[in-house]
Amino acid sequence: MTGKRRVAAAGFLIAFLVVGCSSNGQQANTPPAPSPETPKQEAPKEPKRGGTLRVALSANPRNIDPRLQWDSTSQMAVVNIIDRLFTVGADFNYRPLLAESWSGAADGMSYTFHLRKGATFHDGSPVTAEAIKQNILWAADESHASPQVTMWDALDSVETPDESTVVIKLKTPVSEPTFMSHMLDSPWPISGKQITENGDNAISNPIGAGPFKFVSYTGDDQIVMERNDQYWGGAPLLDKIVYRVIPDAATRRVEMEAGTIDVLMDVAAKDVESYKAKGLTVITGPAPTSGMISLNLATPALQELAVRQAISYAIDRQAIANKIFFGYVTMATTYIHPENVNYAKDIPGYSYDLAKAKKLLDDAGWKVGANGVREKDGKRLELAIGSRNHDTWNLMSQVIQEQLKAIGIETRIDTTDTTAFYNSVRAGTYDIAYWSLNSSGWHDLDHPNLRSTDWGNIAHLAKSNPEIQAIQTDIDGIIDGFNSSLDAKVRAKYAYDLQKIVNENVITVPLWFEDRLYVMQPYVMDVEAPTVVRTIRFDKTWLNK
Amino acid sequence: MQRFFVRRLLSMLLVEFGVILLVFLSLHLAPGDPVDVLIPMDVSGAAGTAQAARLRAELGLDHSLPVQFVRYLKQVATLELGTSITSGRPIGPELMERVPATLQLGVAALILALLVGIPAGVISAIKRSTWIDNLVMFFALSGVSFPNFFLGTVLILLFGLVWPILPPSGYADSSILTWQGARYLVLPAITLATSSAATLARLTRSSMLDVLREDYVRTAYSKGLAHFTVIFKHAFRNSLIPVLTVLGVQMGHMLGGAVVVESVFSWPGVGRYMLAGLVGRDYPVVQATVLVLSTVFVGTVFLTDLSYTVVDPRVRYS
Amino acid sequence: MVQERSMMDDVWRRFRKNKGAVIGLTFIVLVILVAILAPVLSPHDPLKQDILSRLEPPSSEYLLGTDELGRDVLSRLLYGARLSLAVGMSALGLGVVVGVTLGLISGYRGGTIDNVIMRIMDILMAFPGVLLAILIVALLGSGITNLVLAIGFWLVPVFARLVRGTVLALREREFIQAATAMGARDGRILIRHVLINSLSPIIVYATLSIPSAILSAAALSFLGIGLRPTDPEWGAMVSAGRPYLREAPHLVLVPGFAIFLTSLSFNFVGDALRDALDPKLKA
Repeated sequence: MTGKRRVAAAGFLIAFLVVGCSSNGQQANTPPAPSPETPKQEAPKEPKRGGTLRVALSANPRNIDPRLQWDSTSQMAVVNIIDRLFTVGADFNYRPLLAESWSGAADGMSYTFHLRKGATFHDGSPVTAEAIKQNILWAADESHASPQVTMWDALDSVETPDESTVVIKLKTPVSEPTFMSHMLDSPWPISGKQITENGDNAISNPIGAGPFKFVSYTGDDQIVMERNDQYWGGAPLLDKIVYRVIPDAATRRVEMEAGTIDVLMDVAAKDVESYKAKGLTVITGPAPTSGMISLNLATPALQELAVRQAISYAIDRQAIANKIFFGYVTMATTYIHPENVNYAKDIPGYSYDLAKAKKLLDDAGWKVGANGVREKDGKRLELAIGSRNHDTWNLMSQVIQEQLKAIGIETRIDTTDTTAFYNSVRAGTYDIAYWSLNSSGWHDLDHPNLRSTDWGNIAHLAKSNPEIQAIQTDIDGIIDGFNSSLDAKVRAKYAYDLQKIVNENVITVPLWFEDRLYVMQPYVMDVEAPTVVRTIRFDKTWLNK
Repeated sequence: MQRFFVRRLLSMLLVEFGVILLVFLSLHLAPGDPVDVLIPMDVSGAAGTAQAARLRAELGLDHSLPVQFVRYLKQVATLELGTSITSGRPIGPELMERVPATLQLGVAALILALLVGIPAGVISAIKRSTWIDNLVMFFALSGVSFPNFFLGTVLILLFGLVWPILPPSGYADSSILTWQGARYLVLPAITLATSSAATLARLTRSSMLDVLREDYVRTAYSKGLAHFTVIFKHAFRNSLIPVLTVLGVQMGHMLGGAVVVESVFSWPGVGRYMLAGLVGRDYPVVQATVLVLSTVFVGTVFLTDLSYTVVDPRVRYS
Repeated sequence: MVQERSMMDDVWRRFRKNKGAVIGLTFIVLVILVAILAPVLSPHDPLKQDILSRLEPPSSEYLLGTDELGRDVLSRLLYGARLSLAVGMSALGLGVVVGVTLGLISGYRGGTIDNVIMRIMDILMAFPGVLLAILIVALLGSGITNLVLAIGFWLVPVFARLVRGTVLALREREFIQAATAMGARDGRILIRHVLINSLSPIIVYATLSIPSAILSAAALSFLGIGLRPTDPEWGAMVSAGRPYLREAPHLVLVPGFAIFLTSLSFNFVGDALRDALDPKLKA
């Protein structure tokens, strides 16, 4: 591949996209529900300078040091301070930021980035190849306990042939889509000078090369940043951005309606219609956030294919999508997003069919017994639903409980706090669980509970069941084949096989993909809706008031 | 007096040790550990498992519980609060960042509770069995009967949106001494103070009633002292003793137990810091916060005991 | 016996004079009746969802509307009386039984035992209550029993201290000294004399603790700790309904006022009981 500027690295993705873009760059991917028009603007005005943008975050950022974050809240909070090497636009195209161009070696063993000349970090130091190298090496250093360390598992070395060229060498071949999506996992780099000065210590004042400069961070309260007049892309229009941490959903709703915040990052689908009715701008777009029901194959009853299939048929996806998520989801028949290039659309999914579900259970010997609960060999068909303290989890667990009751499966909901829930999912101490997972990228096949070495689940716990072990061996082989293959066609074939095997054997129950939702005051102009990444950049944003 | 001091200090240390042990044990026995949240759920495969092991070793979680406890004790003995597992930053500064907010809210609520609760109780006692007494007591009982997140939400809705004279939530970025800063404090302080004010009003009333029946008050009246003088020089002062006892406990709870109000009003206090630490199994953060909060609590109770000597000349510690 | 009867009459006579307390007591009896008769009174199954008709305003079919999963709010309210009272009363029961026992032993025995028990109570008091509850639920899982345990533990030190104080005062009184001199066994003295004589502050405090237990349960549901999401407990209903405050305020207001009125009633009754039981007020 040439070193020529190559923007459309993910060009093949566009073919699958049918998205309209409104004049100010906001994506108008309208869900099924009829929605009132976004307030009409007068003739397009000249962008105005000045003003403070107030953005609400729904949780305290776990970490203000970009090298130590993984949660979306932290990333949202720093993304306007930290310019990445490149980003992805709402149109799914890669867009250069600090790197002007990049290319991957044909064997997938190295990737080369050519840095933009003249870009500087907020401390005045230039964005050099050496600084990029320092960032990678710091995150890859195990002693720093960075959650991003796995991103660099395949790292062999970083070379800097000149001031503005970075060559990342890998130990094993990594295909370009996978590599690129991993590079987008979290915002980086920070100033090399800052890394040198702080050594192994975490930092609390990230110095990046982004459009805004860090001013202050008060834990559980707010993060303030100001315009970077030296920004390589030209000074942004806003004077300041204040991210406020507002943990309570009811309070966020009032703040938004009262106009005391301008942008809401974490929007409940149920609120969207009333926000629209009040004239607020709603931005939505597809996202790789998959909703599913995880099945623990170590549970004896769930080792029966018929039971897993029955569960798949018993869930009324469309009704839940319409009534609980108000249509702000993308329905899927497999566990891969329909707009992902790897999605196999002709593999049949499971649709709502109570009669079929009941028949499957009847045929498998699960007969309806006392209180309408099915029994076989004296055992009742009882399952524990693992759940956590979260509005969506609470709702979904209850809905799943009700819908499984209709086919004679009795469930008990075990609600715990998030950590205990993660722990039980990883340890396999639950039977089924609703699960909504923000996948790291669009290109990966990876899924937290498919591979036998995975933490998430499942099949590896069913050691004694040869049938499941055989499926597991197949899955492992396919994922390995997919990951080590650099040919898009070969990868697509592996992807197809995997979705087929997962669907036919109901390894997991895919439901839908939640769309991204952001709400803004009508005077907030020129915000590009992110879809692939979870963060919003406000480098072009201005306030029309 | 000196012996009393030493004995109280020793018993305070003992209580602190108990608190430390209790929080340490229950944290480590609770399901899940910091590594469960430190590694993103979508990091999978052997990499995730290996990383988890590395992280546990890095954080010293691979040692036995007694070893970890002794380590922690040593750290406490040197007045070290440790480093947050979540943020990688030292806990001292992170905690200090939140202490002013907690103090502002706690003190404001306490003053509000005192200003409303005590006069209400006194008036109620003096006007016993009149409509004034009934009205005051009705409000006092209502005040302790509201879930405070319910009250808080209603206040936000009323004064933040319907009649928007106050910011719905948030923390002052300017000085708390200016109206610009103080207006953020109004709603959360009212919410937090309501039940305390009500408790104080009830307590002051019954305490006043008790005192008003005492012999020396009757004597004072019989000596021909003015009504006002009797009430305030004799009755009020003496009726404060049981009020003080409760006040100490209330103060402790206001500082540490404000987590609900902090969440509803986006107030960046110590309570939310502790809660987040707990949910993330950030052991050092929870241990440090509990240590600080319980010390404040124990200290407040101690000071309350001491203050008896000021209010009630009959009390002497020996 | 005759004397006790007349004392009870006396208390009742004084209690009856307080109108607020009588109304409160009536309301409590009503709530208890509702709790017992919930299955008969409820027009719908409180757990039956109908997501196609969620968040409906009050109508003739659903007198108090439907909740976020299309369940009948009225039926949940009625069943909720059971859970909320059960949580309040059981937590109180736990606090009273454990607290009173410890307080009696501590106050009567004194010395080292007293010191040990009281320091443990100090530890429980100094330990942030929310934290204690979260840890109990994290350790034992969600569900009504564990919620009761969590709140009960808050109440233990309160009752232990209260009873200890009363016992200390009583210990020096003549009739106890006399019983000891006559060679009565400790257990007998504790129960026959000490406990009976410290009953009135316990009763008063217990009545006042029920609302605080109910409110604590509500606060814990707000923090997402405690009951299973399907349980129609009032506090859990308020916090589950709060996100829908703007479009379906009845989800919050209905259970919110149920909590408020029940707590208020217990507080009125408790206050009146204190006045009625206080011998100093007899005159």
